[in-house]
Amino acid sequence: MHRVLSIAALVACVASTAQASVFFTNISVTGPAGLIGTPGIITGTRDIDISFNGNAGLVGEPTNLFSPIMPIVITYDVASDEGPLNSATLSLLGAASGNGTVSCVTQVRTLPLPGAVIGNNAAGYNLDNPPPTFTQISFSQGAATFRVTQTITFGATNTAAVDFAQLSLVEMHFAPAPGATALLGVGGLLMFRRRR
Amino acid sequence: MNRTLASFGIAILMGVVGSASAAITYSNISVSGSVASPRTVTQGSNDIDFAFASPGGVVGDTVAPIRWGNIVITFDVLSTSGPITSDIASFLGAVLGSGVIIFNEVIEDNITGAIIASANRTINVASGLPLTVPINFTAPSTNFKVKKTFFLYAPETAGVDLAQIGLVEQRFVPTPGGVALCLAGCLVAVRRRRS
Repeated sequence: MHRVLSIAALVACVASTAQASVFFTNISVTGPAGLIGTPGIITGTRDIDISFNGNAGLVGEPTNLFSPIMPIVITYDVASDEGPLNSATLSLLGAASGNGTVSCVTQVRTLPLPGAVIGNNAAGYNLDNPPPTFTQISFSQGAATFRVTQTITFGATNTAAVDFAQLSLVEMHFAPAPGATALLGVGGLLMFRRRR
Repeated sequence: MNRTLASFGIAILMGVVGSASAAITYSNISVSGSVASPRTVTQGSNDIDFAFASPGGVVGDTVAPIRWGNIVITFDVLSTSGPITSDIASFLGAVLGSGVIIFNEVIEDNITGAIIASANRTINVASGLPLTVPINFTAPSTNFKVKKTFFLYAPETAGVDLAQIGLVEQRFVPTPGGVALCLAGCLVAVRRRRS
């Protein structure tokens, strides 16, 4: 009996790990047209990549578009079919030269709106703190549906040096809840106990 | 005696077969950016190559007025050769005059979501190309995502200004899983013979 249960637990675990996903909807990227261009958006099992090409995501000497400039705002809704999510990892990849800076403020709010703010983070890079920049955003409580809002501000003023701030890729990866791993452990323990 | 030898033979064969059939597979390969085309992607057993042909991968005098551009590469890696603990990124191309290439890379475990490696380099005429960057993982992984970006810039000066990336290669270094499997098989065979 124990063996049947443990095998069932293992099968359920493997199946849930294979099929569990995070879904992204209502994806929006807004900002000055020249700064956002046509962003590339790729969603994976648990992550979302937003990329900027050419003149997009670039402020400073190459484009003669200097700060102050309106920021890029990214929003999307996240729904998990594997239970509440507790954290996310943010990665920013790009380049900075001279006085160029890129800063990204992330807010995570439960749905439906207005909801509660469960995650806040500020990250960025410049010449002294060069990219890639990555940071873990821990949520104050688990949530299976929530909205992510990211405000990305570019800074670069014209000096005699080569000044620019460039952002190529913004990625958010949502880690699965540890439930599937725990289930696997329970199944293994049951099998071990049965054998003994 | 013959049975022992046969057991050893089978164990060694299993190890060799396991090692031979083990591989690294790449999926969800994405290459984008303003100077990302034309390009070719070639996959090997332990490596993946991204080659760019002009006007792809180049900015500066030879393709003026294009003086800046970027390349974004992402792909997933799944290893059946055991956990991977490091990789070697190699870049071939050219930088002249004011040309500069800024490279970023992040490697993220697909299961835990943790960043297990990162790297950056600024390549200019002083540092030159080719460049090899060894990247050690903070934790072994069999399932991870690689994200890399290149920003190329070659502002006009009186000289010849160029930033060009022709080939990006990434070689992954698995732990010797096949050898371990073979040794484990031999040990099991010896133990069974003795008992």
